[in-house]
Amino acid sequence: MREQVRNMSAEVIETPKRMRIVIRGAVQGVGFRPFIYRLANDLRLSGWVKNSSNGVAIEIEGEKERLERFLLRIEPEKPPRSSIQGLEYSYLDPVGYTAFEILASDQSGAKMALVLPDIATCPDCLTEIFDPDNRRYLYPFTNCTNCGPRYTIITALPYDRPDTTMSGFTMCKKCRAEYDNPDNRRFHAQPNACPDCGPHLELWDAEGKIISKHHEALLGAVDVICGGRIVAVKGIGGFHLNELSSPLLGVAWDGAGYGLDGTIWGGEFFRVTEGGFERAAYFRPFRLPGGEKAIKEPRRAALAALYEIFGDSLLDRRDIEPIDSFSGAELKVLINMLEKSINSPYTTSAGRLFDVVSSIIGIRQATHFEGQAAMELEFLLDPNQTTELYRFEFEKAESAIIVDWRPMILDLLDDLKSGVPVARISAKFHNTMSEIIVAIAQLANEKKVALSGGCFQNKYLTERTIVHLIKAGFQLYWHQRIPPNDGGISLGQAVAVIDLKNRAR
Amino acid sequence: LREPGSDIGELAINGTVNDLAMCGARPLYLSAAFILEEGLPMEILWRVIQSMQDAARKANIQLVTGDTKVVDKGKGDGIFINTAGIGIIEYNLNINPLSIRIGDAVILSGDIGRHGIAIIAAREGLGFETTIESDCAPLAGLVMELIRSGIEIHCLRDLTRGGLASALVEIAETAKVGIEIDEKSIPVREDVRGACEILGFDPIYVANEGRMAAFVNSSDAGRALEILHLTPLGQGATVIGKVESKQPGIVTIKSPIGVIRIMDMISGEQLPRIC
Repeated sequence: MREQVRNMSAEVIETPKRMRIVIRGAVQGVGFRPFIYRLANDLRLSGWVKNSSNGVAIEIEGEKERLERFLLRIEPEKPPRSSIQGLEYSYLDPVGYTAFEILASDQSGAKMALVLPDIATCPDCLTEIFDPDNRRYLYPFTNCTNCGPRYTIITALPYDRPDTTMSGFTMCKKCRAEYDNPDNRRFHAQPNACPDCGPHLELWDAEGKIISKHHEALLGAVDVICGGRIVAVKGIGGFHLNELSSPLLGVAWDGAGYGLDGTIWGGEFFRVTEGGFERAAYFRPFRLPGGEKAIKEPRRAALAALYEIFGDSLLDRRDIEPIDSFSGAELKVLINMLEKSINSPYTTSAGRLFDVVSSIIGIRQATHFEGQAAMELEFLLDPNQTTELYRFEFEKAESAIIVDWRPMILDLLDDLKSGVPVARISAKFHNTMSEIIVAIAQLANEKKVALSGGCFQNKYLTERTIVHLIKAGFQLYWHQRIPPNDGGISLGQAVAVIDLKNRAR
Repeated sequence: LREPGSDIGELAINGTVNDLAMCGARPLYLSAAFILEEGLPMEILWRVIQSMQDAARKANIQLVTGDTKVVDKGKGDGIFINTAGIGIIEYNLNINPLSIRIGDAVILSGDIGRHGIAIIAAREGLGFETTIESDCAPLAGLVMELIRSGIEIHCLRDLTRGGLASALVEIAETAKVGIEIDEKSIPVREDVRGACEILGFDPIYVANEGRMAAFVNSSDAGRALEILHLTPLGQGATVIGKVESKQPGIVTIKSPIGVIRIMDMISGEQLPRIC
């Protein structure tokens, strides 16, 4: 009997197993496959890894105990820029792999892989750029698996060089060697390039004639800017057209845009069909006293939002920073403007709500450029702070849902009063705004959701929203190839005009 | 009906007087038609008529005919006054936008924005600390002084609703010329500037009732300013820009820090210019 048991366990240890692993999350364009390759070799396991539309797929063969060690080491040792949202594995019969390889990518499957934003040049690459002896000396497009462009250059998922705007650049021998060497930090760095084989800078005049190239172009541009003139910068991404034809919920969150009803839109949810669109939900409107002035001064938007809550008694709320920033005379005039509707258009803008919060918690009362208050609010946010939310309410109006932000502001004021750090308040506010999108998406009941507008330049808002929407089973579209701000809106307008012209024909 | 510095009676007279003056005409006679809401207190009507008489005297014009209708209570907004006038063109000048020549100087007769701010402050009880008085005034005297002195006037425009900006844009479009304006040369009183600041208005879009823009031959600009400075209404006159050929139909304005932007026309109430 004892003998038998030992034999069985011996058998378990010795028989190779095959494991199939699917990893979802931000696992493309971050050196994940090279990492898996090294890990497999380290544990003397055979099989393959490839990018799939779902993320990364792995098949790996070897002793069960080493397979399990492999599995356990993925999360703690994964590349710093990656993030794993889900990992599933199953055991299969072995097929007798002899080596571990990185395979060409899989084109099938729903496109759900998270694509990372562009990442600022890493210290290693910076060192190379400023090293006169390095072959990438002063080469602005230097990158590796830890940094460089991601979504800007992607034309299709999965993330592989042929599906990026880099496909037109054939790597030179030296770059190719780096790309193929598992021990090099440019192993499978999709945008890998050098001055010999990659893109280069050109400075053009207004007629499109080349003034200078390479490093001289950069220096030339600096001269032009210092001379008070304008340089239009075209990045490596280029613009491509976004193809969505089936019904979807469009989330259009922006700073300000004229709406169909004379108010300033910018916090809208549209149900978009082939026949047109209807407003499915929007933020409870509040006024912008002084119009454009209230966009430059978030404290005005804050005053107006608080007026929606407190009415006249706002005059006594000197404990709130934006209120205290005005003189008594100014406050009186501003409240008169709100009451009497003088140059105080209504807005439903989400971007202005970011301004309101930025002002209330004392981050910024007046801005130098559009979006500054919201950006500063985002930058002070500590993503690890909290998953907590503030309250918000939905109100049904005719055909649309009105999102009432007042409970959120009240909660926020309570937090402020009880000394909750602003980094945490900012996180809770961001979480709330993101959760509003998820909640509306669930109510609207459209499978597809598209995120658009300047607000989605906010990395935390966008990523949290994407993750939660995907978790909730939505199919998601957001800006990977087109900037979400005015660039994207201009493009949208151009597409709408082309569409109308085609219909007229 | 009444705001600091003017009332409806004075406005009714000066509106028509200024319309005549902007054609280079010397205003002579006016008609006035009243639409009165039933129940309007007689003392208000009397006060309005008194101020019309004062304004007519100041503008050196005779009120020669008129008519009165009374409408049911609730059918009229207190009082409506409609005036029409006749003047005489005594000099051989063709004053209209098509006479404007490249290089002409653009003269502004005084500080801008007072009337609009006075109205909004009085009507809405905004609670400004100081009282801003309307600039409401007849412009015929100024114009006659310029014409009599032989200034080569090409075009005149009184700045009313829509302010300086709307007047200039309209002229540039009609004359198919470009106009370059230097923002820092435009006089705006400090209290008006402060009120505009808090209200979110740009003074160049705020209404006036006693200000005009004059397009004159550039060689006459200096002399025109000297003449204007001698009149009570023209003491704050300045050259604010010139006519150029580069961008026909476009008015550009250079900010105090040197940023040049296109001045556009706004319609109705001032709305924020976004996007």
